[in-house]
Amino acid sequence: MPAPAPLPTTGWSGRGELGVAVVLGLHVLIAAACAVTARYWGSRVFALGALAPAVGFGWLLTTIPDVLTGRERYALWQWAPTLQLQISLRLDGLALLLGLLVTGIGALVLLYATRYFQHRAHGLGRIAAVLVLFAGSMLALVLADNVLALYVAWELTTVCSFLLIGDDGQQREERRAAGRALLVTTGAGFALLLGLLLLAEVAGTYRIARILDDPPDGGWVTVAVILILIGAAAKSAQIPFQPWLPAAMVAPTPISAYLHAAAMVKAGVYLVARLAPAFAEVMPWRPVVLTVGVATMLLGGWRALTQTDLKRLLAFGTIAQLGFLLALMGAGTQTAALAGATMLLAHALFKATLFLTVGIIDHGAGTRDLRQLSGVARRAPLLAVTAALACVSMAGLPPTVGYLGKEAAFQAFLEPGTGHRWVLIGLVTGSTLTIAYTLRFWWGAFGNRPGVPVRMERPPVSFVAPVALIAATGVALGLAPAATDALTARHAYTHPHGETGYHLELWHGLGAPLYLALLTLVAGAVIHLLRDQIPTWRARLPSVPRATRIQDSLAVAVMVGARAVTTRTQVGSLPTYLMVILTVVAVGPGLTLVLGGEGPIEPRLWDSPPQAILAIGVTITVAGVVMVHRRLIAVLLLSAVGYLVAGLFVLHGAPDLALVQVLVETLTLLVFVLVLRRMPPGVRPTAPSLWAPRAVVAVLAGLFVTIATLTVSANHAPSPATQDYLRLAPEAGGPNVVNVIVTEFRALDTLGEITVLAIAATGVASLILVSHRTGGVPRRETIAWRSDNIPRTRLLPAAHQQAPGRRTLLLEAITRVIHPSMLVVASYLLLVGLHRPGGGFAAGLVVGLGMVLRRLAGGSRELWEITPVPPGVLLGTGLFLTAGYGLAGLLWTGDPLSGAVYTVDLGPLGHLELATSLIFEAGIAVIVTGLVLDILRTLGAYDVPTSPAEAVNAERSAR
Amino acid sequence: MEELHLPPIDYAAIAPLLLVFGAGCVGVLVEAFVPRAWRYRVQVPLLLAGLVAALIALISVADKRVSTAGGALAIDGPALFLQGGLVALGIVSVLLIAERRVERGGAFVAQASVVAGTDSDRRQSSQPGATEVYPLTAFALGGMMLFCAANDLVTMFVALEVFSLPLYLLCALARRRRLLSQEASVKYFLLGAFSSAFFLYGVALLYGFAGTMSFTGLREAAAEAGSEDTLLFLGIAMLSVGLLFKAAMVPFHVWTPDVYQGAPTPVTGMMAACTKLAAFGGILRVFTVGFADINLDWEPILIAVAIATMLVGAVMAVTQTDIKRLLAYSSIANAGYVFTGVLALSEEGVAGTMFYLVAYGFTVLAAFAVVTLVRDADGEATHLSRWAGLGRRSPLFAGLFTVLMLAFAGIPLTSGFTSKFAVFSAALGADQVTLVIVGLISSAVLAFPYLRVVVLMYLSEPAEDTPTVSLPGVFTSLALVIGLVATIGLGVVPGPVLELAEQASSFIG
Repeated sequence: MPAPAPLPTTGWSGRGELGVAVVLGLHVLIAAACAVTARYWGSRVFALGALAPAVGFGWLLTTIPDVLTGRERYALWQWAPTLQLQISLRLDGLALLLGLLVTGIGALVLLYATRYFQHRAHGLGRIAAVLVLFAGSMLALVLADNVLALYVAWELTTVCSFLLIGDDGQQREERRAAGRALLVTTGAGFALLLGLLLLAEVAGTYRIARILDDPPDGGWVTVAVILILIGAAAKSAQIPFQPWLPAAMVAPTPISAYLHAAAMVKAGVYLVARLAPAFAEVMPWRPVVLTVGVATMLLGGWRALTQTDLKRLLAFGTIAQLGFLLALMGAGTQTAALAGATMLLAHALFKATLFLTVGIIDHGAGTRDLRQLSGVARRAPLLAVTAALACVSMAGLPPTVGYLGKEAAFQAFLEPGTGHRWVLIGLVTGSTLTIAYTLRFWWGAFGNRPGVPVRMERPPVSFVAPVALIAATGVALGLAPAATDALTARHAYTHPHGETGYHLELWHGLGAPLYLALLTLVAGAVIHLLRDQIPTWRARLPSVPRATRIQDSLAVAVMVGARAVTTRTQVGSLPTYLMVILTVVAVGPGLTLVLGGEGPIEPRLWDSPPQAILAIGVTITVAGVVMVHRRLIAVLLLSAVGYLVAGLFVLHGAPDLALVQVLVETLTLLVFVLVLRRMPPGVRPTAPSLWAPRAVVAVLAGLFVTIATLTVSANHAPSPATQDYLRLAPEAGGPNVVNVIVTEFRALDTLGEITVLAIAATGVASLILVSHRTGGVPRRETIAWRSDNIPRTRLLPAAHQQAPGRRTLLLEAITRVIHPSMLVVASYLLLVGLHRPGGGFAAGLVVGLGMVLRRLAGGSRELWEITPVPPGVLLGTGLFLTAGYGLAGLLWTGDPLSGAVYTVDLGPLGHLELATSLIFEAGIAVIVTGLVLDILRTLGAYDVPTSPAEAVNAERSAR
Repeated sequence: MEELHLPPIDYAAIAPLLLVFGAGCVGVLVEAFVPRAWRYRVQVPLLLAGLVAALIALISVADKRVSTAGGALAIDGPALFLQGGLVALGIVSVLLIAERRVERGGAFVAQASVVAGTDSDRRQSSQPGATEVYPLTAFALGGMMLFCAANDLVTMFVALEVFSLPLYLLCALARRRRLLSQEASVKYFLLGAFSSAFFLYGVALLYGFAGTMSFTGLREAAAEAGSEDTLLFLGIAMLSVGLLFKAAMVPFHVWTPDVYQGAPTPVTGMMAACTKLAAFGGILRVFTVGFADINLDWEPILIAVAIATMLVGAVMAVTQTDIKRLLAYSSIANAGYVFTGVLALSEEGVAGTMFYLVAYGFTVLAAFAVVTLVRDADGEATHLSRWAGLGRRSPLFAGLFTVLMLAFAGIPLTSGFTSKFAVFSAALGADQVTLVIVGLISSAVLAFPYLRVVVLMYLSEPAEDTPTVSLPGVFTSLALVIGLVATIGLGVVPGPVLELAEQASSFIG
């Protein structure tokens, strides 16, 4: 009986929408209230909590007439409209059935908890609040009509379950197991989400009712169905996910009763029941559901037979029943669905009763071990009767609802055309085991054991009453098969297949179902009588790998695999990281570059043969840099590369570029030498095993850059600015375009850059000196071992202060000769900058080189001796000159940084064109000089310790 | 000589930027002129005031959609939303950085240049931390805000350096485990310099291709040329390397765990929240404005990057035994999820991405805030085995951390779910089914380590030496509360912020 084609989006009469909102909201409110008031009310807070599901139960009762006559209720709210996230709810037959169970049993369990937790002081607020929240989530889960709303509620129940399980863990193994429960169900939750999303995407709608109305098909649906079944199986503790359920039994009994018997574990079964009408025919569905269900039923029943802890016995019984339910709900025929819905009802009622019974026994006798219980029935007769009623239902005997369900189940697989005889055999065997463990349970809990002391205290009636109520409901529903039929058939008729008109009856007459039921009873009783033999039978069975162990070894395998990957790739080594990045860059874009696109231009190999020689030299030197293990040699080779490149510049006709390159290279080298003095001389040689990969990556990266450069050069066209510069340069000062750009066209940029340079110099100096704040810079006066007897020279005044062994006379002599000439060269470079290679930058570098020379020859005191002003003053002066020049231009001509050119006749030396920008150049030169001086003085001032040990020594000697 | 005309500047639109940078500049002056003992008391209110003022300024210009400063800056919806997110996350980061109650003197070393392990280093262990971190933080945040608004390649590069350099420094300033911190900083700096070089190389190539730096010009030139042009292709590739490095996407993620572990935890939090947000802000603009009209030949590569990021981050997170490294890998995987939203290349995707970044930022900051609190005698106890049984010792913080872990795992009613949903549904809308499937698988794998932490905290016996949770100071408490409220708030009622993101999802230019 499919729903009408256009689905309404709001409540049937407006009342429905409001009602469900109030009920769900109430759960949240009461949960919050429980958390707050638990401190004052103690365990009575659970009575407050019971209010929420009780109201829900009442509300659901009022909807029964509408829903059972086909007038389903809908509600829809927008949650996040931009994401099309909406909460849509639907109350139909299946939702009503589950909803009644969830709310009804929820209310009674909470009432029961007021007694159960009476003597407990801590954590009550949390338990009560989470239980109520769980009840609300579970209700939302069965009402959800949107796959995302369903998933949200699903995950909420998982989280609530974990928060409740993690409560009282006593033993290590149990705690580990509870943790595993969370991992298994959450992991499967993602499978479910993926499946639901796939299904919704294929169907084009997120509303479940619409998906069921017009089920999509295709390969994706198969994938979606498998994923959804995984999620459902994990939630309902089906093979191979079943171990989490017994482990979850560490939770307090009311929680086990509610979550792990009556409510949460039903979520998976519910989902299967919800989707079966539309997807039972999709290929892997029916075989999977039936196989897994029957296998789970057999395994659960078999394991239950050997348990001695009553709660674990019930847990394995629950697994068995869940398998039973899954097979029935998923089979996809009307009778099977009817049996499933009836069994669902029956199971919730009897299993909740039995769990709560165990809780009472545990409280009264202090143990749940059936070997230590005796005479409980005599002390608690009402409880024994209550449990007996539930056991009758569990065993599937008349006149209980369990009997109705079991008979219908056998009928469902007896019907012609179902063709699942093996399923029937499995179910009968499972039912036999069920009867056996039911007997084991009741006799274990209530029977007399000779020699075992009777320890049970009489439970108060108010403790037993809610339990008895649940058990009585099971019998009442069995006695009124028409009412039960009305409740369950509504769902069964949503199945399009197998209309047989079967109805629940207490007496269907003699027939195969009845005989099968009798068979199970007899066989079950026999097994119970032979119960002492079971351990020996069990020992004879071939040992199968336990699901726990499989899950654990799977987890271990994942861990080992991930660890292997991590240790391989995440070694913490910078070269390795760099290799990763370079490889990707070289291989990714590199391959594309080689395979596609225009390809590189045909390179001209060389313009003149010396270029080739220089290039080969560069290559060899670079190889040397990589191979040597001593830092100093590597630096020297690196400089050699720089000089060779400068040579290439010269050959290419760019002497100014070459000049700057040589100067910078020299300066860098010297600074390097000053720094390297403080470092260990060698570097750790690369392990031979790393040679090959690194070489490959380096070559790849080099190839990539080469090809990229060649390709890019193919697209090169000189920009218009370049031509303008070339045209305008002579007008602006001279033919040396580079210098004209620096001092004229882009003078403002230059000003900015040299300012940065000055700041950087100051920064470097202060950073190096910062750890020597207390010491300050050495003054001439403080140099104790200076002797005035020795005549001083103007050049290298500090040379004689060095220890005799450290003096290099040859270097001193050369310096004395060369240094004045260097100053002359610097002046020359400064003056001719606009016409020839040179300029302020080069001039400053040459002066700086001179200083380096003196530093090397004269020792670390030399620069303190000779410079009349500190470097800071030099930097400031330079900035003053350059900025002042700019301002002067502004005052004179109205344009900042503008200048003029004057020609000076120098007689025999020829003409000199002096541009006013010379001041600007001079400023640059002064700043560069100041920079070099600053670096040299700071680097050379002290032997800065580099290792902690050295630092300690240095401090000791200072004291 | 031609007259120079200054381009008109809409000062109101860039007021938030100016305020943050202004706070940084004033902070530098404070370092210079205010006595040492007073600096902390001046710097923290100054920076917080600057950020709050910037937030107010952002709210007041929320409707602006202008391109200003000669087209260098685009103050449009995404820029404003991301800047708002940055400032809000920045405030939380500053709260963590400013905390001095948990550890005497704060998480930062007094004098970073003192050689670790020396006598003077031991002497300074009792001194209050360096107050330079506040102007550095201001410049980093300002740079990130600029990065999100940069409308041409040069501005973007400048912004990239402006926010990167302070971060390199901040990484090196940890008070404890200084060598680890310095190593982290050096690694970050060197690899970061490399990636900046790649970025710059890309800029040069793109300029060579288009003759302009502006994204709009780039797009026009690209539309004319088609995607076959080598310069364009190489340029995009190089630029992407730089951007993906900052966003910590595989295979440019290698630095992340080491740096996250070594850096002072508040800085790690800021990097995970703010740097990620800024990087993706830039990525969004580059891919949606700059290269939007290009024939999507490079899309498979980016999809591969996204898939690799999601899987590698998740799988590697499984084995981590250090909470900071775990969060680092999780942040890598999260970058993959965010990138899924980017690759939707739709306004829906932009909105989802922006929402994700903000939501994730708050959660990750709160998570790192908890990390700063779990301590023993040696400082933060980051090894996971030390967290065993924390749920018994400090139920409140363990509970709080559980909520955050559940949010990371994408459990509904936390921001983790809504944000993941936002990007994945945008990707589905753009027919990126593979990405979504991989994303969900990766989420499932990643849930494992998160839940492992939860299980560890609750279900393990507390060891003798299980660290205690320090009582947080006002600042950390505030940061925790903000993070938690945002995590749950954005999960339960994501509507308002999502709508804001949606309204702000179209770029100008």
